[in-house]
Amino acid sequence: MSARLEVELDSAVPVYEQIRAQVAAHVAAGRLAAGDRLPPIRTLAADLGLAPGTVARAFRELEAAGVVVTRRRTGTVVAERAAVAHPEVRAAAERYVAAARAAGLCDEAAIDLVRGALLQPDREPA
Amino acid sequence: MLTSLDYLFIALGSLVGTALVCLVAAAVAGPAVMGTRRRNRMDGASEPADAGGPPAVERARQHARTFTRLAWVWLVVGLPVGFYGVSTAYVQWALWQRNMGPDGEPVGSALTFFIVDHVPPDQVHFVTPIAVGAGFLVVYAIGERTWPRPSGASRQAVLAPRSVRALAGQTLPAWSVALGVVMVAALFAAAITGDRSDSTFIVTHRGGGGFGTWPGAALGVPLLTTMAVVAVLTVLVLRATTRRPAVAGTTEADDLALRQASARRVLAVVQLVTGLALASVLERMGAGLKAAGAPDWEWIDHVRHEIPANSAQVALGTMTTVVAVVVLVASIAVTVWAVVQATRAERAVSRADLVCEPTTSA
Repeated sequence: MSARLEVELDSAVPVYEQIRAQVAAHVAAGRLAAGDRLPPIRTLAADLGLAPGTVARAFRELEAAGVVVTRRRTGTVVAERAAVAHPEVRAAAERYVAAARAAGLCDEAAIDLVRGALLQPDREPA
Repeated sequence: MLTSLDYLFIALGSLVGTALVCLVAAAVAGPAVMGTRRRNRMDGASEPADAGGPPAVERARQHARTFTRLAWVWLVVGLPVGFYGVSTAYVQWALWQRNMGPDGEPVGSALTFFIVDHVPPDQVHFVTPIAVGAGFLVVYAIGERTWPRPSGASRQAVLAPRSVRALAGQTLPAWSVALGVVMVAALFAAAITGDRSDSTFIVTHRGGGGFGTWPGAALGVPLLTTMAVVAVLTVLVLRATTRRPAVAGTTEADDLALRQASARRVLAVVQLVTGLALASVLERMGAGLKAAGAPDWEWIDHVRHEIPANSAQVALGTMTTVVAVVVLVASIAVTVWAVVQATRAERAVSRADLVCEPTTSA
């Protein structure tokens, strides 16, 4: 089962940012491993019904962040040094998502809770 | 012997057949293409997915069905029209060009003489299946390029590359390549064993000589050229199938199944036209060998000498003819099998779509 992307055209978040965030999230969650190939820009743009430039911008941002690298022969692949979450943190995140869904929270509300926790003034600096 | 009126009827028949194919094409494909374009213009509008229209899977199936029917109409009408209309009309036209007019002037112009001299009628006949196959691929390519794009505000995609190999599988490409290899080998063998003058006859020297028409280099070169065009077109169509937009609301496996069904239909026809062309070449070789090995006679010093049959050559000719029939039957059988498989796979996807609601990821 491959990782999937889902973008909302009527969202306030730009489409390229949705693509960037979701690819980065799949890499962080370990669903996309180092060396995994991403589809070509034109194929992904056709699947999503978007202009290739939109997908290209998302890929550029991912490349700048070190999540993916583009090679002439193999295309865009997940970078070797892409940040993958620590297994314990990943497991905690999965437990949190399960709890949020069990409580009937929507995705946005669950993410807001995480943001709220991150914004707590007494948290230890990273 | 055909009269000039017959030639006229043959030529008119070919033209009417071609016009008929174009009309059917326009009637069948027109609404589908216009519908796709209309939907594509709406692409990006912030409205619910598939509002007011059929589900995406059904739209995709309709689109595939339309272009598959259109391509098959082209194939089914094009093959007989090509074989018996265009090639026969060309033969008669070529003969007519060599006629003399009432004032003793040649009927043909310099250009038509050039065409007649450089394009033997047999070439038109032999190249027909492959050329019609190329037309099929062009129709199919148009279908893939106008594949319905996703509509609605919510769009999904799989983050994994697709390959032509995953779509085409192994059996059909291997069989098609095998037919192509046999074709190249047969044409090469025919080219080096044919008569040196124009490579259309084989002559055996056994005191006298026999001959039969032969698919030498004069036929082999245009046939192989057309086959190369078909091979390139096949790769392009399969790549277009790989790159076409995913059908909204389907799982990754179902989307792959729809692509595999398209690829299977394309390869079914590619191997069919290759098989038809190969069967024609082998049949001609078999007939040539049998004719060359048949019993004959000749005059030597005003005495008629009987030349016995060359049984080995006749047996080889018979065997080649049998192989031609086997290739023909096998190609047709593989076509039926592949088309049935593709249709079943596509129907299974549509049934699953009716049972399961599209899932939305978190």
